[in-house]
Amino acid sequence: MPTIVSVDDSTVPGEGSSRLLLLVSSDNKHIVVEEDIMSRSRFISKQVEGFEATSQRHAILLPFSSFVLNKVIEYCSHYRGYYLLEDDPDAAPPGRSPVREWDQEFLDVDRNMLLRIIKAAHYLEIKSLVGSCARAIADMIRGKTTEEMREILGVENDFTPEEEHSPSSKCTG
Amino acid sequence: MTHKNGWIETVSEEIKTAPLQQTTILDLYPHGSFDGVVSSPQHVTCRSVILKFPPELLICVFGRIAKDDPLLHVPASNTHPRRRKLGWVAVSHVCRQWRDIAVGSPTLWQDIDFALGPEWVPDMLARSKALPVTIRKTFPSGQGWFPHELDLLTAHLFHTKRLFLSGDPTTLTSAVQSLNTPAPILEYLDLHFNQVMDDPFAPSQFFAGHTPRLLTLSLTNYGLAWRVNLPTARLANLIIKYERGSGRYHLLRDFASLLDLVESIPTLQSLYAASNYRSHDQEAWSGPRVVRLPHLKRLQIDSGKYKFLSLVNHIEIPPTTALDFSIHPGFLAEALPASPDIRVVFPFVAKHMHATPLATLALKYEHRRAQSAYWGMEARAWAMNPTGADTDASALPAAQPALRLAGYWVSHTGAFTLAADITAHIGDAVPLGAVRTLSVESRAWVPHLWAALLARCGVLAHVHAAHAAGAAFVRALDWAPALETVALERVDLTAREELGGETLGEALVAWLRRRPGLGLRRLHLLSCEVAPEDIAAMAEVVGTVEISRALVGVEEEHGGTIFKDPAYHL
Repeated sequence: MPTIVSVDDSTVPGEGSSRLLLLVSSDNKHIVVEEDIMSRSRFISKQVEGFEATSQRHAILLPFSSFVLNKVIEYCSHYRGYYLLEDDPDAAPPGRSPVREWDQEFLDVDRNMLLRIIKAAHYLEIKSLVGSCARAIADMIRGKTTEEMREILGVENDFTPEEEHSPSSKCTG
Repeated sequence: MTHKNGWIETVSEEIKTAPLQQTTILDLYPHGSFDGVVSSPQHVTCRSVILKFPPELLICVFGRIAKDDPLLHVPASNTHPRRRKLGWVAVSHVCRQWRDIAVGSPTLWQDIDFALGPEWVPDMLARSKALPVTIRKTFPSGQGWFPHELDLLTAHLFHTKRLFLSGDPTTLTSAVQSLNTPAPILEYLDLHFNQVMDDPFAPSQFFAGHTPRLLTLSLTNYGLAWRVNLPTARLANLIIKYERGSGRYHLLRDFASLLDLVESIPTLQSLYAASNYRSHDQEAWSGPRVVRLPHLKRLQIDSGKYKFLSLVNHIEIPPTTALDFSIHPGFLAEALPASPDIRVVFPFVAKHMHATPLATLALKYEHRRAQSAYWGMEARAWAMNPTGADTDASALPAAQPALRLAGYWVSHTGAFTLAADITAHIGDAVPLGAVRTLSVESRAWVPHLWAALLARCGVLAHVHAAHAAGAAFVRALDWAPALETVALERVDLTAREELGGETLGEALVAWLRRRPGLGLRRLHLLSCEVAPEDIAAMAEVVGTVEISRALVGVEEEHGGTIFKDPAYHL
């Protein structure tokens, strides 16, 4: 069970009815964000459901850096209020998620960052962002040779020479 | 976005006093997967991140590649060492972890093409682990094919969800007749005949008569021997296509048989008819017969062929049916003069036209060749997708009911008739009761049509008229009691329609004064010629008078656009 710190109302200055979340990144940066913005994250939604209804402020510890977290919040802020089919738990899984121009620009980051964003999105259960990141990674390595894929993603070839040259690997893997 | 205040500090203290819990959450992911990114993420290589990817994430990425980069078959005559293009399967050769994940994930092996060769298909089918699969099989023309492939196909029909079979008619007919085992989860069947066959294909029975979940049947170049036992019991979607040069369109001798088939499927929700086959000597099919399809939700016609076009005259289309016609203007130009009796809902090239409930209907005409009757037209779902991001309609708010009629005509007397026809047909075909936004752009407009149109739009809130407004427009506004915004573009409000009569501006002011309780929020005049005294008079009655690029009187540049209101997008 993830660590969640629920803050008693008595410690919170009154700031209206909109609920705020305190997200704490792995580098101990505190980021305050409206719950509504992060409602796209099923993980956060589930955690918030666990809070007492009377509590107005909540904190959630997240195992990734503020650098990544800010990118995720930027994504969620951009799509605040938008209905995205992939994020609808009641909708049938889409065969192919749409290409969003904004997402392409948003994910025009270095590879390390892209990989971290998709991991964070996966952790936070933001399917639309996972899908967009997966598309970006796929675009990065699609059509490349296995050697090029290793080079791009820094993956080590741990096949034995025998395995690599076995007939079964010639086509279907 | 980072803040510090009392309650955050309180939370921070609680976090500090719960170190064990913090450890617990970090342990949810493999150690180190998110470490080292405090201030300098570049210090961590891709390797440390990608190797710690959860398998389901890698499967997601692999699945994405698989969709766009499938395995490809290269003919055996190709002597290249990599005779078959690996496509997405190349990821299984990167490292042992990736290979284990790729090979062990049945969801990645759900699309199987026999073209890869019989030596690989059994492996791929085995890896699908009885998950629902899509199978594609092309029977080669003039070559032998492997009977054991058919056995393999038959053995896996029990978990085949989508089946695409193509080939020359003789082989395909023989093969399909051999598919005599039940297909309990088959939802999509596509039969594609790639050659002419004189004798209509008439299979005695498909799949032992057991296709309880078949929803879509797609037939390409298929002879219309419709009365055979097609598995149509619960069919929702029927696709009929004829390809250019297939020579099979002549098999459509008895057009009524197509209606017979359609009529035999009362559950039909979507009908798609397409033909690229062009023929000048086809007789127009006509007759009083009308087939009732009470559940039809979508009718698509993708063809210049007159007969398919006339299909709409013989189907009782429910008012909620979405119409999607894509008709080559060249074909249409040939078809229309020869078919004076045709009554088509929208007799021009159109795409994505949605009938009631009228989400959006946007029509744009262009006079492409002044010297001939060559008319092109396109329609787009503007309001459904105001950003123009065609691929992302799902991300946009729900469409506002809107109707846009736009005609860009050069001097052409036919334009008046055309505008009238269109208005009349729209009135006949599409109930306009839900339209809140109406835009008319045309230099050629029949004035009395304003009243006819506005009377149908009972809840109209926004109206925009470009070029097309006159005294009749002002009078017709009486038919729109819920009007909130009026926008006029390129209209001469100083002009008098009758010698000695009032100007359009004066008429508009008089109308506004007559209806003080109307509640008109905004009047927008864009590139209009307008008298200053009229502007002052309008401002007394209307909440906001917005003038952009006025041509006479006041020269103001407000730079606004007509469609500022989100509910006003077209």
